[in-house]
Amino acid sequence: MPRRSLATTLALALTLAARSVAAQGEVSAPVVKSHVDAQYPASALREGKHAQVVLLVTIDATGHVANITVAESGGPALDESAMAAMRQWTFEPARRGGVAVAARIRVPFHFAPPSAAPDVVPHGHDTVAGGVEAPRPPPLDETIQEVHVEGVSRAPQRGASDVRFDQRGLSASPKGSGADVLSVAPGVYVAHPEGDAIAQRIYLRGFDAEHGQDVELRVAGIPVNQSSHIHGQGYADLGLVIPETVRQLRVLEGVYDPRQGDFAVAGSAELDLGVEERGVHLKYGRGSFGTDRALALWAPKGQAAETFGAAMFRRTDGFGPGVRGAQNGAMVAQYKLPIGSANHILFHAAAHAARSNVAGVLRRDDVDAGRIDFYDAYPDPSARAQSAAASRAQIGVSFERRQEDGARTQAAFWVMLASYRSRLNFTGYTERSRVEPTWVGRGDLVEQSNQDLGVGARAAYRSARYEPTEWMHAQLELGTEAKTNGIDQTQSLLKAPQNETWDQRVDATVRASDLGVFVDGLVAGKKWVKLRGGVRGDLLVYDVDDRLGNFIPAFQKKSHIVGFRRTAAGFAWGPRASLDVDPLPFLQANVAYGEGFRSPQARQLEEGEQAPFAKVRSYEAGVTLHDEARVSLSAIAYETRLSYDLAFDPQEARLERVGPTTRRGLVGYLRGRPLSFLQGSISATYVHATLDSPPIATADNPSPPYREGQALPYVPPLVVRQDVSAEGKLGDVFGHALVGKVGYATTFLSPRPLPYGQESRSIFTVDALASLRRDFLELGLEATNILGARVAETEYAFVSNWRPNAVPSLLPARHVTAGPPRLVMLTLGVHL
Amino acid sequence: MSARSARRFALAALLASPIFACASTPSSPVSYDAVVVPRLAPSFEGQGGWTVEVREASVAFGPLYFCASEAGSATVCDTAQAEIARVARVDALAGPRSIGPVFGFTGAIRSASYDLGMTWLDTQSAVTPQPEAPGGHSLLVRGTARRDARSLPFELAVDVVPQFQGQRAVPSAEASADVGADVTRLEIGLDVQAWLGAIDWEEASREGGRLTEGGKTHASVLLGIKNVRPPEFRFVRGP
Repeated sequence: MPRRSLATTLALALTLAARSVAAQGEVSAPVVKSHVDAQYPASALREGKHAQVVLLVTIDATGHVANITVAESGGPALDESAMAAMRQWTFEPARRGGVAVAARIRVPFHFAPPSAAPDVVPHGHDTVAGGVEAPRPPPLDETIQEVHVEGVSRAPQRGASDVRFDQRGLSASPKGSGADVLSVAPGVYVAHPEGDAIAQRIYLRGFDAEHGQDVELRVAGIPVNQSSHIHGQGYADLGLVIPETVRQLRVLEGVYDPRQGDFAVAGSAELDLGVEERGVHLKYGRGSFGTDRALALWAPKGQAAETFGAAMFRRTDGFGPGVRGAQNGAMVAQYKLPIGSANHILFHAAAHAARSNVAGVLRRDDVDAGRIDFYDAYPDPSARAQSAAASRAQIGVSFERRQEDGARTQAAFWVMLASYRSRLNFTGYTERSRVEPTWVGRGDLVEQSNQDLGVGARAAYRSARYEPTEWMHAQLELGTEAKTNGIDQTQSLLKAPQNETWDQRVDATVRASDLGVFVDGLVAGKKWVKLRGGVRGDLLVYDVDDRLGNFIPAFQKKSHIVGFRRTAAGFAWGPRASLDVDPLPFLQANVAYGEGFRSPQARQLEEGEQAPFAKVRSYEAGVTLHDEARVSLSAIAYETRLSYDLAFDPQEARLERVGPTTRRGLVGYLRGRPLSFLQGSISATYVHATLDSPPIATADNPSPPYREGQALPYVPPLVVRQDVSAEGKLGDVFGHALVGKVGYATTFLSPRPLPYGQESRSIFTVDALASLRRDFLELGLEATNILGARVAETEYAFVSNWRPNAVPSLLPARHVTAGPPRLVMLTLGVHL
Repeated sequence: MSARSARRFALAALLASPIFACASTPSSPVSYDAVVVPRLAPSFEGQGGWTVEVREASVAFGPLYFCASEAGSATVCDTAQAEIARVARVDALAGPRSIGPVFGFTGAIRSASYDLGMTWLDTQSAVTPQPEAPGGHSLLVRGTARRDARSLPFELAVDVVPQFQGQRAVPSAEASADVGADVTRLEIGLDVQAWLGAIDWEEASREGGRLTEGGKTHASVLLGIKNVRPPEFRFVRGP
């Protein structure tokens, strides 16, 4: 057989397989575009055996080989030869509903030894240089037997702001934490200003989402945001995410999908977990400031990518003089149980725990005057007593059934238990005890605790594909989602170092329930237009036992028993729709509209109050130019209106209302894999965010920090992010391929407006990584903030007093939390 | 859709971006000079026909906080609109004198609160004279009062102290201004002569000339400082 017949046969086989799979719905399998023959390795000539090697090959959404595992071995040399050839193949990617998706196929190679007389080639064999016989093409039926499009069900695309990243894209630059994977999305900036044990802070397309108030986060389908959390509404700690286990990230900026629920205000992010490269992976890293990180990850061969176990432990002394020491760990275990060819059950368990010291804020004027170092903490006992500890454990089970007619049934159930305790002092010495007003000046060390037990479930059914005409088809999906949380929370003031409580601010139990239902429809023209949309409604019910409610001030005669128990409920609903038009093969245009909501902080509700949801309305229009799946360029214009926003109040160390806001912005996003070894992206997000009607001056608050129409505080008007990475074979070393990888990311944030007309400094950081891998050994080097920029991850403006013996200033002053300086970590990995 | 119309659509989508309205300007930081304008003649006629000759007169002034609310009390106004967060020692016999800048924000000022060199901060367990307080007092005046052939050398030491921890000595005083970028100076009028004019020198004579806390003279001067003729604040625009 001529050499090219291998490709021809296999391509034909895979094409047939694609048709076969497509007939089962909107799925098409990958098709071979180019191939490279495997060579019979010289080292195996002595044995001269015939052997079969079967590879399980994962082909990513761009049609490149992302991962290879050996399903059937023919011996190390033949396995390696087959894999070396396979890595150079390219494919037309698998598609689901027209969208390129990752897929896994089974590719058999048959190796036969060279004939004794190289110049005589037996029929059916191919020759390569040196007279060695190339592997024979597999029989047609053998090749097509296990074409399998991988992955859990993906929600369909919703406009140009619906971006997805696979494992390769997420690993292009250093990701120190699970939350950092979000930073690859346009307009996203992730910071960790309060250390390892307090949730990351997220900026997303003009929103300072704080710890998650404006971004709905899901990990393995389980909601992460915590309702009515004491430290901030929608608090979502992604500490349980181990970056190496994130298989796909979907970030939908805006509210255009009826599946988006509570906290999807700026948008939502879903992290699907899985491990493409099967086997056992052990990593140990040692880095700056006494940082150690160990990872054990096992992904049994022959199992689905979702089946794996992972555990990670990390400890660090932290930058700065002993004020940011931390220890944290996380574990994830998943098992995907296939039931037949179209059904499966996924079991999921994850947990994390962390404790860290917190350096807290510094006044910018103290730093500028040299009174304290940028990375230090105030020497005051109250400042040095800042810390946080948190844990979360969750288990879930989900079921999915697909039918040949396109119908799909999904169901899931989950349980979550989370605890949180922090001691933070933002303001120094300004507070007066409410319980005993003569107690003053004991340090504003605010202790917050939050214990949350939640259970939830969701179910959805998508109808069969309905084709009333040749040029149109439609589908309808109905879904429901419910969760209920029991929350115990307190807030007190502590005097350090004795840990004496000198004021109580919150002592409450909250029961919060959310019952959501959605309907989502699709109407598609045959080739170039798709209209998706539906409605979502959520009923939220609260039961609050506020044990410090109806507080009796010290100067008032006692007239009742302190406490305020109340219930409240509300119903939020809104339509979401997106229209996609593909007039040309290289052009896609989208418009989208949606209404979403954020639930209220339960303790702020009155008895019988209709829960005042924060209502968000999102609009956007975008165009995308793309060259197949290699390069795409998107331009998006959007507007988001929010009925009331929240901003951080340092005096209470929590979020307070600042009234309605409007954001108008533009996004430019270029992304591609122009070469098989190179991928990159660059995005620029500009937003003009304003406060429409902030709280007015009152007797209690005569100097409100905000004015009508002013720029929204803490929101950077411009965010630019670039990720570039290259990975490829550098050569052979002692019979094994040496694979190198380099990557870097740059992040720029323009100065952020602050309350009281002040402004933060801009941020520019560069992160990079490099690694070499030969066979089972990998050596990696990661560096973040390579330029050593002094980055203030957050800046605030408020009144503080950190010099208790001096006359205090009562003017709002800029405060900063230092971001990490240059960090370097050397990693040794073993892949078995 | 043709390629041409697709290009038009793309262009329209890009141009259809919202028109960005100008944001209103929030309050912005400002600073301007603070000038103390004392009024005290070296010799003047006091109560009861006494002639008062002042040899030395020092006043401690500050810290001073301006508030946007009608009440400037520390328990109500925890964020200042403008401030002089320090204590200045002023020679009342000298002319107007700069005591450094006022730092603050543009916007309305409706009240003031201040100390006269003696503070009881949140973090102080008792009233504490600041180092700038003359002799550890808010006001220290030395001189001689004469009437006919009588001569009364006197030393007046007045302590203007806060009543509670965390409070200012004058918790809320009148002040009104709409501070913009055009404010160039804050004039603080200290009518020391009026304060001394409240002294009953016959009573002072009975107290022996050492006029300190606990005496009637001290009380009358204190009343003058806090209530009868308190410091005046004048925001000057332009040069």
